[in-house]
Amino acid sequence: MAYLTENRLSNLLDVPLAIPSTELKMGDWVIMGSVRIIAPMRLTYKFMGMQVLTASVTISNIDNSNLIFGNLGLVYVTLRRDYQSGSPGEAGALDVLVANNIGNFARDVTSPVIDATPGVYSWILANNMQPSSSTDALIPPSTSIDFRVTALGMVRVELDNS
Amino acid sequence: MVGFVTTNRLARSLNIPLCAAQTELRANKRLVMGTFMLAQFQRLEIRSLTIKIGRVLTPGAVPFYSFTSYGLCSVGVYRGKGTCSPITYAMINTDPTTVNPFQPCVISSPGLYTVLMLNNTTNIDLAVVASGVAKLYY
Repeated sequence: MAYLTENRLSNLLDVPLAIPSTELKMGDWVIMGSVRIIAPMRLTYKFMGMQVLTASVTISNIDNSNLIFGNLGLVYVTLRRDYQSGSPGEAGALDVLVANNIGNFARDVTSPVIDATPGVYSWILANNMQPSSSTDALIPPSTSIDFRVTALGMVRVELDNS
Repeated sequence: MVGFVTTNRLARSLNIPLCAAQTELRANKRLVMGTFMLAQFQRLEIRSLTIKIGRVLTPGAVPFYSFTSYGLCSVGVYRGKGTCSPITYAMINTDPTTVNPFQPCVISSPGLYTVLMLNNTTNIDLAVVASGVAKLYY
């Protein structure tokens, strides 16, 4: 393992990704941060934590028909490259952190996402809820399923990936 | 500078976050993302500052610009309280942009500095996200 030089230290940037406690409406999303990578830069994404503080409905009343994407829980943070618009939960995400309940959720820091492909990387916090058309649903379609969420993370950008 | 970094040196290097999650920025308004005081013998390097438009809240409008060189909106570091031109900035018209990381902006003059997000149009509301980092050496 090499020693750290002044040049190397100067080339390491820890870019913050943070959103304070925010009410996220049903089906809505917000972009937490974005970073542009150009050659020869490299991105290493390890750390992200999310806390779901409150919900506008009783969590146990939410069923599968309320989920937009069945595998993305109640709220999720997703990493996408060159995201422009449209639902952030669609296929093609580089990483996703899912919250299935009220409480704290963190991604595993030992499995980083490392990427040097040029592009704009965006972290998007999204509410995965939709009105249910099922007759068995406990939450009426007119009720908005909102969450108060906060998330905090960091991405390391190396300006020289050698 | 190519010397090795000691643990003492590493402890005197800080990454200062410059960060605003998607935020509504109304036409011709500005938002203070942060301020910092730089003391004597401190040095600040800005190599990462990216701005992206999350949503256009006034779709279909033809933009009227306050200053043509600052695009639809911009994020920049200003001396003092931001009544002057930015020391470094990234501006956006369509695609997200960033400051050039290979030509860092180095600040060593003591004083107050302000990081501002600015909507440069007089008629379009935007939802803007900005991320970056400033490296402080002391």
